[in-house]
Amino acid sequence: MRNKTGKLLINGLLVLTLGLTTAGCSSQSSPAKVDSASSYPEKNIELVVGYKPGGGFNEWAQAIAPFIEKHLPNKVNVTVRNMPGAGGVIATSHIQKAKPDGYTIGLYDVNGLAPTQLARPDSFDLKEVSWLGTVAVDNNVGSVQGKGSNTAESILKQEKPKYIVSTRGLASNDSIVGAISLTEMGVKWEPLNHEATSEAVLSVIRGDADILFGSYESQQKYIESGDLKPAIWFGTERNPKYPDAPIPSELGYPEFNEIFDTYKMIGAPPGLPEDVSSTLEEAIQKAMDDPEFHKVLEKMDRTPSYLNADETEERVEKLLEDYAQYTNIVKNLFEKGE
Amino acid sequence: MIRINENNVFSIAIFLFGLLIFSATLDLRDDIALIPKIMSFCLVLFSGWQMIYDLFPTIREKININSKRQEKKEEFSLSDSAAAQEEDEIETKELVKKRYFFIGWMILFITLVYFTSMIWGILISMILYLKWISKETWKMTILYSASVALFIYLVFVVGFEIYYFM
Amino acid sequence: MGFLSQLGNVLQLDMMLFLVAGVLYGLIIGILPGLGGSIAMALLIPLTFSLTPEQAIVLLISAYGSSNFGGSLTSILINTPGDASNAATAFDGFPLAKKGKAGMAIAAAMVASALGGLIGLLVLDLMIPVARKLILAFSYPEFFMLAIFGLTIIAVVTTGSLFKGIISGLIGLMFAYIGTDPIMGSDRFTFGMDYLWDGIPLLAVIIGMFGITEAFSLFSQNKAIAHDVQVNKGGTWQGIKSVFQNFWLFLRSCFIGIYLGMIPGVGGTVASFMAYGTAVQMAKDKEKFGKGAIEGVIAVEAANDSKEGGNLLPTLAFGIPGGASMAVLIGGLMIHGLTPGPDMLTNNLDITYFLIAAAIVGKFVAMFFGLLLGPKLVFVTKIRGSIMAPAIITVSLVGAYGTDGKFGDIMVALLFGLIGYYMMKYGYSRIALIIALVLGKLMESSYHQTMATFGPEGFVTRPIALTLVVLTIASLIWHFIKKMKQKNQMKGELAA
Repeated sequence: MRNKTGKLLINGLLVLTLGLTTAGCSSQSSPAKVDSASSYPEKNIELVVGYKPGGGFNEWAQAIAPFIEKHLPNKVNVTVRNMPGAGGVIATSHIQKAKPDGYTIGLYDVNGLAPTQLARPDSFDLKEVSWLGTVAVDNNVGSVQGKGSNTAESILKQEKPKYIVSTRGLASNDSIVGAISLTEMGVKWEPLNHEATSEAVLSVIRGDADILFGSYESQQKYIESGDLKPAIWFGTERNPKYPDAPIPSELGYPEFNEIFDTYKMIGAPPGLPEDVSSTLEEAIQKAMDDPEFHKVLEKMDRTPSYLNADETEERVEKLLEDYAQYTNIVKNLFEKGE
Repeated sequence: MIRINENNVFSIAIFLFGLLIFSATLDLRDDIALIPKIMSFCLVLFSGWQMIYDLFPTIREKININSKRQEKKEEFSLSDSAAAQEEDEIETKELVKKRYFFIGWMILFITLVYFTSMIWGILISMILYLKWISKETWKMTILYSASVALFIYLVFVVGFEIYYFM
Repeated sequence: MGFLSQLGNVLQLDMMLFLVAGVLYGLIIGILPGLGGSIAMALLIPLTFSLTPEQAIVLLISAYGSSNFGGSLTSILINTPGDASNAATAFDGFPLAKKGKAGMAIAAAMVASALGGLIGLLVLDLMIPVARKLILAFSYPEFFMLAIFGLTIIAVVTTGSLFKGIISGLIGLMFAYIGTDPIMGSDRFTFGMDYLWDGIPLLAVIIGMFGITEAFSLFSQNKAIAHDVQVNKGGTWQGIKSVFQNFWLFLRSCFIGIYLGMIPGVGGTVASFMAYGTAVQMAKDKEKFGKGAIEGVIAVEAANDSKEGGNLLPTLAFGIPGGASMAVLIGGLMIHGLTPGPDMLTNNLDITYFLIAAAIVGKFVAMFFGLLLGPKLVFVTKIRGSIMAPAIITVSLVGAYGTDGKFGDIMVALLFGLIGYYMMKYGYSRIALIIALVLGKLMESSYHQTMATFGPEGFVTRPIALTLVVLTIASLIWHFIKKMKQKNQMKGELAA
């Protein structure tokens, strides 16, 4: 949506009033290596994000775009293109249909998209995407009110007749994690749905809902401020920061340790030519290794975790299989109460 | 006696829209359908009454004659649709034709946006409008449409680099 | 008044340069169709990478705070709101422009915005110690009652036939239900279209119903917006004065704005409509509304800018964005290592006060430029209709398209332009439709949320919810008693 700033009209306006900004910004757009024999890329590349500005995905896209740009062989821009709608489906089908020329790539919320694909297989297929790499892997966490008495053990013992799970659309990844794990654990629960994550979080802080599932990244600041506390940590070992939160295997459900990890993956339309995909993969890898990028992420309090294209593809396939296993639970959810 | 004019078509459209949503609620789970079902039922009822009222002027006349209903009529003041209808009859054919021309032009506009881009859509449809609908001079037509298109181009495409405008 | 301690830090030369730049940028973004406060900030964030956190705050908050000013200009002048929250400004602002009083309306809007913003921020400053408790006091039953209260406003703002007003409201509700359902979050009434998943876009509807509908009538009349009247040039002073003449209305609207802005999930657009509704309700002469009552402009603009103070409250107290723009602001602050949340009220209190001080100064700078430039734009109301019509259509379509770049939004704007035209022609209420569209989802989801958490007794056992019930019933009864009285009076006059 926005880009290198030299010719921005608004920048023109700012230049008039303050020379400072311009100096600062133009220094950003410097290095470029023109040494590749291949002609790709010849024009600007669009990094499509399926959400509006203001969320985690947009944040990551904005952060990494300048570094992919920096490590591409030719001097072109990588612009972030927000294409919100239908929980990322609009952006995903856009990429699916785009020309596989390497000028349209996307940052995928595979955990949200996988269940959607299983529920309605016609709009896109994650298996066909030309995967380029993973930029972030995040744990899932089930959080309860910071001052409240709910814990994983009390929920498992069903101390309350039913537990209210704060959700943001039952088709969303966050809710599916909760639905699958609580149902498999035999806990009686009921969804309390919200339009946005912020409302869902607030409802747990208020004490209206008992528990909220989601990626650690989306709950981190509320956990750190003490408004929420993790009750269950989905991972292979306890998080040293939250030693009190058990992992699923300690509760007797080792199968949930890993399957709910959330990914931010970069992919391109199906049928991307070999040379283009290797150029892009390399640029992404170099960007992920760039110490300057790490500095930016540090400022944002985010941790990168890189997986290469092949690993990414494997994870996607595994993810789809795992979700397919639980499709019945998900399907039941959609028909519950009928 | 049934009267068919724009007003009636509009009333029928509202009624059908209500009916569409109401029928769609029948396939939904009970709790999800609850509120839309109640509300769409109300809409079907109300707009149905309005539609019958508009379609059969004789009913309206009966109500108007019936003095007991006078109170009710004031409460809901259905009478202003009658005023609108009279206006409708006064409205010359020329004006109605012009209006459909305008609607057609807008549809052309968005078709152009779809097949070319916002900027070209603006430029071409402005020229068409000014020359053939508004019958301006060539100088005015070209200058005005070019400057509007150029302004949008400079601000949105050059300035903010908003990709979907080009 | 903790912000006073930081006022000096804002009034530095370099800070003021950023502030003026931010304000001008915000004003321009606001005037441009389709670009509102959240986009204003999203576009600026990359520019702030090289700035200090303080400079970034000043730039972002002043751009955000002034975008509302620009948005109200297009609402008043050509009936095309730049942002959904400016829509209600058009209800009476545009009729004023038709009467040749655009200058007065603009001046009143600017002053009401600036002072409203000031009051919102002052209240925010004072509420900081109790912020967290206050926000947690509101839950689903209160949201539900708020929505019901808002919907009853339809009865009040409908000037013509109440029967058709109700039909209009019901149509609005139908459109509100399109999208995702509030219980499962799966799609409903989308008729197989992916586009409809996110519901009918409010801004496109408003642009269609007001901007495009206006172009229709301009085209068929072929006259200037303010035809047959002398365009009043000296309206500025009159406009400024009118805010102070209606000071109670102004203050009341400010509190509506703060109150509704504070609650995440209810949001700012509702605030401006509610403020408009109560302005009509409390007015002695209801008939003048919608035909160019300056009170309508003042109420909406005051609520519109004071809500920012309310919006900031959950943002600062919990790190929970009070609205879409706040989510972007949080993103912008996080890049500079500032995480909005409870820390902002304790360890980083200085930064919070600095932000408030910058926002307040920004409001006044924006008012200065608004008063300077706004009245100069009044000339557009004197341009011949056949020339203005295509320009308004262009601005409207660009506005609908500009926000997200979805082609469907253009179609929605055009469709609702047609619907709006026929609604106007046959005596239906466009305002009622939009109020229902804004509140329909809130009403439905908060109903189900209350049932899931508190059960049916939740509606009547909570004191705040109960107060709202009483208020709703009282205001309806009051409205009808007044109407009856008027009717009796009219009958008496007729008999005499």
